[in-house]
Amino acid sequence: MKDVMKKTIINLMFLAIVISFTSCEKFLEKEFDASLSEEKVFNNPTLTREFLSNIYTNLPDGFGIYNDPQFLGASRDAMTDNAVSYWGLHYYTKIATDGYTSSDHPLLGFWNTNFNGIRKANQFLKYVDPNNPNNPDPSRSVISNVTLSGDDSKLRDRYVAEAKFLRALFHFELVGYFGAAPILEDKVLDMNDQASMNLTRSNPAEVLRWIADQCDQIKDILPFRYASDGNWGRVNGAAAYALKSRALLYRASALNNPDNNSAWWQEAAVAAKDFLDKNNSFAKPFILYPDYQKAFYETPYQNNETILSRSVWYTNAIETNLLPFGFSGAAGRTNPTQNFVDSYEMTNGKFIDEAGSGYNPQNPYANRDPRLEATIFHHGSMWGRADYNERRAINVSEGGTDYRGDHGGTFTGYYLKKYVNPELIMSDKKTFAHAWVIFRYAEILLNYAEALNEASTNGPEDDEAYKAVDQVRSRAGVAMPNLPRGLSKEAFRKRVRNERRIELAFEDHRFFDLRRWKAYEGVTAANEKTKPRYEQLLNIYVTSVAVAGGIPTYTGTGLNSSLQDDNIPLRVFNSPKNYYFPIPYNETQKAPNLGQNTDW
Amino acid sequence: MKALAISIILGFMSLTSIAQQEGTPLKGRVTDKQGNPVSGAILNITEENRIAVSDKNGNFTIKRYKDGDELLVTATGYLDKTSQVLDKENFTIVLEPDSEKYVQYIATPYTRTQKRFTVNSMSTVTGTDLEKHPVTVLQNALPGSVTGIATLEERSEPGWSETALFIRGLRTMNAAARNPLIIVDNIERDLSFLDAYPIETITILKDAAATSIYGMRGANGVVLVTTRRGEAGKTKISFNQEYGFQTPSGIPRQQNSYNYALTVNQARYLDGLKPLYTDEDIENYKQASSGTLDPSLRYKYVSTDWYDVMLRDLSPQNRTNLSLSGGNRATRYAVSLTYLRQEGVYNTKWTDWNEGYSTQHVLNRFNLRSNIDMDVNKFLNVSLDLGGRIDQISQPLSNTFAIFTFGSGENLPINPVFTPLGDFYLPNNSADKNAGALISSTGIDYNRRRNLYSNFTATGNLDFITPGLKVKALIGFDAYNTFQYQQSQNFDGFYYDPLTGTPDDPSSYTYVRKRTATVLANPLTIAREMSYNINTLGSVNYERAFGRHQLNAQVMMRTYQNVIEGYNSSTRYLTYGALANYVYNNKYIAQFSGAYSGSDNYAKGERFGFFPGGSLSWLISEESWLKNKNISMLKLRASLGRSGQAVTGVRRYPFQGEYVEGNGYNFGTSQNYSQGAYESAAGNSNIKWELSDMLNLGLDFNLWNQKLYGQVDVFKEWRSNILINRSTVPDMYGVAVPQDSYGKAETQGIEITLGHRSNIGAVKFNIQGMLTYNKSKITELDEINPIEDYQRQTGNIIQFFTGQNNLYYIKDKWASEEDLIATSHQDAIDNPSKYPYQGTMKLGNAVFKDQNGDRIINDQDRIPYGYTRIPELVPSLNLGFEWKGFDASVMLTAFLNRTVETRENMDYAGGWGGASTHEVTKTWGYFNDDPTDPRNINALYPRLSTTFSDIDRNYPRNQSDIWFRNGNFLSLRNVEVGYSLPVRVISKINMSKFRIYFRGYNLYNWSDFDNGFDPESPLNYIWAYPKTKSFSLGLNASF
Repeated sequence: MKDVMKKTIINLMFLAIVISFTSCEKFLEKEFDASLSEEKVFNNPTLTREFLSNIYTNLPDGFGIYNDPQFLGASRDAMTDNAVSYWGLHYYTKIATDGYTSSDHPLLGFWNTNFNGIRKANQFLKYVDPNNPNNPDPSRSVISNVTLSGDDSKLRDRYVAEAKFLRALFHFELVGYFGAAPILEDKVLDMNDQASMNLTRSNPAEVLRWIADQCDQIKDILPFRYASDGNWGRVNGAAAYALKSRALLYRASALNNPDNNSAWWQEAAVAAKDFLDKNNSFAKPFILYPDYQKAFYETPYQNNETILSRSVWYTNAIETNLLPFGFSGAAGRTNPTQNFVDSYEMTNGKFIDEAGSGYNPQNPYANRDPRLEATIFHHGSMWGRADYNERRAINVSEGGTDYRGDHGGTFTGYYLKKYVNPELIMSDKKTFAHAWVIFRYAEILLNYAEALNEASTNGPEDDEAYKAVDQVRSRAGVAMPNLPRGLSKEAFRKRVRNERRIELAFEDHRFFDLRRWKAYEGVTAANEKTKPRYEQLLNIYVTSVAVAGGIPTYTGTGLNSSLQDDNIPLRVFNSPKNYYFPIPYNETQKAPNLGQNTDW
Repeated sequence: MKALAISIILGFMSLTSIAQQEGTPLKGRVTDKQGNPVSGAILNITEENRIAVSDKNGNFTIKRYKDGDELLVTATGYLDKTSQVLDKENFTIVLEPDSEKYVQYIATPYTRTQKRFTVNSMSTVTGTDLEKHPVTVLQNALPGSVTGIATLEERSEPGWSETALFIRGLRTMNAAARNPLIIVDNIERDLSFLDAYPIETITILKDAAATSIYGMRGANGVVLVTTRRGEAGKTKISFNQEYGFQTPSGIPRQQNSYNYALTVNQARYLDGLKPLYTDEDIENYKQASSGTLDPSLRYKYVSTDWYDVMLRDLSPQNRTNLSLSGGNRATRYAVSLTYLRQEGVYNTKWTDWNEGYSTQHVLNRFNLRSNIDMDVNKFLNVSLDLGGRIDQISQPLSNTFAIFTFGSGENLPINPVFTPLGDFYLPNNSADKNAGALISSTGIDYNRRRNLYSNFTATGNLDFITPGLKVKALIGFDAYNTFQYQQSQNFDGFYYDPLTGTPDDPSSYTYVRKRTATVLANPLTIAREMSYNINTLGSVNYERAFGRHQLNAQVMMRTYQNVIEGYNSSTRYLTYGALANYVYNNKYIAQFSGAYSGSDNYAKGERFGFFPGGSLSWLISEESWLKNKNISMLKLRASLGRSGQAVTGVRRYPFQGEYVEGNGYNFGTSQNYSQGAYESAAGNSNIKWELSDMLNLGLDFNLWNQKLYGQVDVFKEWRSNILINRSTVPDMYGVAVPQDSYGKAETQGIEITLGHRSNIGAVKFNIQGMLTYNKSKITELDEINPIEDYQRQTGNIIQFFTGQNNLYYIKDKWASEEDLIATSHQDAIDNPSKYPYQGTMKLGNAVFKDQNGDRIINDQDRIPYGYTRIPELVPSLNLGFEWKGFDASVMLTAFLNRTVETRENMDYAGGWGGASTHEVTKTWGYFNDDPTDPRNINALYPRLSTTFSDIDRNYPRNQSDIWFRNGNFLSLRNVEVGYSLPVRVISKINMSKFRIYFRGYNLYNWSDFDNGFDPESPLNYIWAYPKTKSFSLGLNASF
């Protein structure tokens, strides 16, 4: 009896163990998992649409940096001869003085941001574009493609085109900062296939050609402008035309066109012309905004000049970072240089150093291109809301309200006015709608003029190029005289480049323009001193103001003045090293096929 | 509370006196087996508290004895004995000697093992020893009490104290995978549930063979806590009351306003600026600082010591514990109730500022523990263990960081506390810089925690199947709840410029309002948090001796489930385990443990791992050729095992990629936000649990009856599957590259305990030294080839912060000659004699070593330097004395081979609010700018300046050995002095123990730091609540 009981109990114990082993495996099963997977996202039309919206967050953003006033809060033109930012720790100071390495380089984030954008675009295209080779099921799509009236007709095709544009723009950014870049095409990199990630780079001209071709694929699929207010800010057909124009212009430029193949300039001219022709065929074309200063703080959608912008909208970080130091809460981080100020012509169309210009170094801001007053705060500029008793003259004299202090101020005598909304009340600091302009109409005109001139043998062959520049110069409120006709290729180049510098100042053009023109070739701090200051790239000039009896005396604005500031290190440009940023050091080790840029 | 405790005690005493009303005295004698008298034996009647003590002839008399009463006899050196009186005339109790080795058991995983048959690396401390430390966080009592551990006190404020515990050092690069496993009564729990009183022992399990039974959880070592259980026969009541105080262990004093003004002027002088303070200002600040200022200038010149303003000298702390235990053969119980009140360091001037309520930081904690065991019948035993903790914390609503950082640490001595009109003063650039206001008038933050933990255990005795067979089932339920509510308040704060206006005329100053007063608002309830754990354990145990064989074995299944409110599935582990300990002939011991353990973090089919461990031991002292009365014990041990760690800090399901909604974009003229969706993380099916393979060799010995005893363990660990960044996946991948279980590290170390116990006449003393040493090395990091090979991390020690590469600039000297400073990089290259190039350097700036000789100081000149903030080497010394009722003990512990980060505002904080500590006198240029002045040559800190330059005080050049300091220190960790009344005296009132004592904790530190900086966390005075030292007076009474 006892033995039977023993056996029964032992058997029961074994049974219990067996049961627990089999049923308890289930103990580790997921109870629920509400997280999203790739499949869940692209099987759902709402999430798919949201995914596309998110890709837009990778658009270039010249204003986002203002959220880091310590290291980044200044215009990127502070990396050029246009401006400085006030302290030695500032990232742009390091870049403008070649004080960085491929492993200790503050702006290498551009590498990741753009590859992140490319990955997103390719993930999107993989599931939405029926022609994508990776599409697991091209026969089905969660986005409808029916013909409707309005913007949403053939919506799937439009979404595909938007994603392709964004992908092309991210490649363009890579070429701008890093030169040769991999063309990813439709590739979504797979971590389990590590060999596929050791990418090789295509030279810049090839990538730019690829970008232009991508634009060709989509430029007429996208609406040139959207009809619905709700689609304002989306990638449109005009942006594709504009990107193609810029890509081909960069491709034809000296940096990427070592053989100076003039057919490339021709292509660039045609691309710009295509934009202008297409634009003029619409009843409501893109036009120059009739007020140059307001064009940069006007509510973005009311500005018919903007082709594509990065949505930023309500903020006052731009104002508080730019306004002169003496306004409460202002940091005055971007300090334009005397070099830049000197580049503005007189209202008579002459450079300040030209005979008969009428330039007076002790009244240096009188009779200048009106865009100077619209772009720069100088000593004596009036600012502030009169109705709030905040209106006053900017005072950058030593010890003056807007002179430098422990945590800000100007080292050049100037502050940046562009983008600053004059409606700002310092005591309550409302926010204003801002958008970072990526493409605008004036740029296309200048692209066109530059390409036509460069494609010619001895200067523009007909009036087209002149008319394009004149159109920019004759904007309502700017009204600068037309360019003199019959300029040599060389002379026209100088004028159109200066026009670009002034018109597109602080819009992230100067950094790339100087490089694509190879403007630094043969330039040393010593040998450029014979040139006018506005043509000097490495020596940075400042102005200093002393006030006696209410009368300001300007030192440094004189034509031959060489006033510099010890606190502003000399700009350093090593050719060819500094034409491009280095590929991040770690990346070159992980993907050795990338190679490294010259001299890094 | 105290009154309550006392009345409970009195209640018990009166109960016992009621029971004493009948019976007659009993006389008897206690002897040993040889018939020699045993003196000092305590006799008590079971389940009552009448006691007697035997005299030097072994004779005793116990009052009011009645027939049938059982006597329990305890005496040091003898086994306890229960006895019924059969022969009242000639009643003799014979005691068996207690030769230690036969009775000492030690807690081991899921069982207990005779101490002499243990085979693994373990270190044990009893609850009684832990009680000696007046700490509120048990971890703080462990250094110096056990070997193989290191601690880091991370937070110190009452109720929020946190101390990280590391067993055998930092063994993994993954900072999220370093916590040891805490097991309280067989269940995974948090140590903060407990105080010392209910604890029987804490055992640190160190080698992987000991922890392999915990499967995926044991790799970082295990803290095995066993709580006290009742024993049949004795009803023990123990009452403990302590009053004590805490005080900050270090506060670096700020300069007074006179010295501050001089410092500012000197910094400005060095920067080429005009002085800020005139000679007259300075003279007046001097008078303000020394208290001799003309009262008419009192609004203009002040000298505020903000720490004096904020802190009080002593913060009371008291603790009451009542423990009861006892029972009969069928039912046994142990109950412990503790009340702790710990007050904060804030000055009562501010905390009592408001009528009717206090804003002091106060912790009130109740800890309850009740363990009940019942023998239902001879086949079944059940036990129910309940524990609970209630914490109530109230504190100023302004957070501790703001109070210490803005309110005091970065505040200036020239700032007054009040304006001339009597409102709180606030500087122009801050609405927080007034510690008094922040403490008194920002409101109150209340936090409450309710924790419950419970075990229900049933043990079935299956002796009827085969002797020694048992089955056991355990269910544990733990719950954790937090409640928070806040009552906000505000104060009137004004700025005025003291240096303007007419002195002595409050109306002549311009006041700028910075804050407006509000009264204490109604409570705002913050969402509460709750979670609970369910644990189960089922096992079959078999323990039996046959002839020369002794076997103790079990198989088990365990589950763990942690449920948190929210988005994810609960966290679960499932483990099947087996344990066997086999002893042959009392000499040879073999032990095996194994766990087949799974976690739900991983994909189906890849959830389980096997973790085996094996140990062998040889009790040489049992060999006939060595048997010797001088060698009480000599044992050799060896173990090899594997354990795992599934908490890797990665997302809930690391194998799968994850997309989330968010990060949208605005389209349209009215900027309608279009929600976004994106890939937030890529999955990686290769993310696994970490593995620890460890070899341990040990030696235990006890010679000449504890004249020399000790334990030595050496180990080597091979850690693998550590999460690291692979060098094969470039950022071009396009989304944050998931880490991969690919890293490896090795750690080796030694732990030594050496002790001596003896007496000289009536003085008994013991001395015990402990030493813990371990050193880690990264062996696989899949590291990208660094530009300079000396920057390679592989082969270096493991850092405390994940991802930090411990690369530092090394200061060579202070720039001392102007013409040695090159003007440009080219200049430096062309003229090597003008070494070194540093850009815009000034005299007294740090000249860093140019490690690669390229004549430019950049990222590549940083080299691996220093240790971590966790010590590698922890020696400690315990001394104890006893003499005629007096006892004393001292514990010294040193934390060596450690380095700590300090900051560039240690001395003069130009960029951090501007305050300076006395440390500023060690700064280059404080006295003069003569580079040949020895005070400058030997300066500890670089050139004084009004702003931080990027040369040596700002990122990245602040990553230098100037600000990364030797963190070694020796701490007088514990002191205890006590006096116990003779048992003979107190037994007359039925007491078995009455002791009064003084205890101190963390009383003094010796270190490289002075001026009040605490060497454990030198910057905590400014950015956190300071570490404290404490001392208390107490009494312990047992019945």
